[in-house]
Amino acid sequence: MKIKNNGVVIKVTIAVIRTVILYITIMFALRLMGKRQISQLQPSELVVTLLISDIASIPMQNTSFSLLSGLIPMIILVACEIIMSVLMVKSGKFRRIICGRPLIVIENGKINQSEMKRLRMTIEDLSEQLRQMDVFDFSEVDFAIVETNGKLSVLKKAENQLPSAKDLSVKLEDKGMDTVVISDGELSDDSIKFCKVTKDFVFNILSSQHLKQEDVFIMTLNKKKNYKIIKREKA
Amino acid sequence: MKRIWIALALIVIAIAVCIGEHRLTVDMYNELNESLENTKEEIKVKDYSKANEELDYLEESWDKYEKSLSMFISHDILHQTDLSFAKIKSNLKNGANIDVLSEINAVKIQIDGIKETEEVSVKNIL
Repeated sequence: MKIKNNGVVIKVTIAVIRTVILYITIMFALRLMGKRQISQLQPSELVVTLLISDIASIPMQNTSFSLLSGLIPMIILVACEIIMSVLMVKSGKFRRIICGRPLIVIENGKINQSEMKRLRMTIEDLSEQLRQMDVFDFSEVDFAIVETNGKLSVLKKAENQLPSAKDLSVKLEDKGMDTVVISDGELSDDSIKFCKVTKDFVFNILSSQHLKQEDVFIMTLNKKKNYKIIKREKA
Repeated sequence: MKRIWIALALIVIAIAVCIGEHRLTVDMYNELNESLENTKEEIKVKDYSKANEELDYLEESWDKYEKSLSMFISHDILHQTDLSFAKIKSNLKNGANIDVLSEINAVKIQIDGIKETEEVSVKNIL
């Protein structure tokens, strides 16, 4: 019984160590592949990401499986993915072979049926995607393009587009982009650098508001030195 | 550009691991196969003390290779060979020579299987 218990403990410990190693490897792999959200992934990138998770789960669950036999395919997949993405950046031709090209499904307001057939896209699929973009009438669309990652881009006809400030000849004030300089009492050096200010500048604002750094929940600042502060709620 | 160097480094590491595994498997096969043949011959001529010595050497070699091979090969497969080695030793102690010979043959088949499944061949790739 004792041996059995020891055996179980050892197996669980091995599973924990293996899981940690695989977790670190997956994080490293995804970091190497670059920051992108699932919806922005190209089909090949999505497949590689799914494959990596699938491969990692085998040695994680089955301790009799060697860890390297899971790690090596992961390493190869990540390396191939990086090499492919570099080649795609270097060569447009290569990119077209791997990712295909964007296809125009509505051109000058007319549905391109042959392209839709090629994409095996039904009119229901198209109207569903248009509805998700707040377009409920085909006649409002001038151009609709299916991008290489499968997303639909839509250009509405001029009469259905919202006028911009420029169209209305209205001059809007450029407020600049707000960045979080203090989050939960922690100062962000990157944000300070981005706003082209010093730490002292931020501390001066805080002292003028009779606040300490730890009292701030969120402080945002922009290049025009406009700031907003939300105080931390006391527990 | 840094990423492509990392990718290439990863590929080089993977290839190095593959070559290392291949060499290790071949070395293991050659060494153990020769030793198993010697043990077999010594049992046939009833030189049990030499067979015992050879078996000790065999076990030592197997332990050495098993540690490295377990990084690449399923532990279940290696465990089977482990069991067969234990059986050879106990059968030799009990004087069950026929069982020893059949167990040696079993180990030979097992290490042959390890070599064959780890070999870079069209059969294994497909």
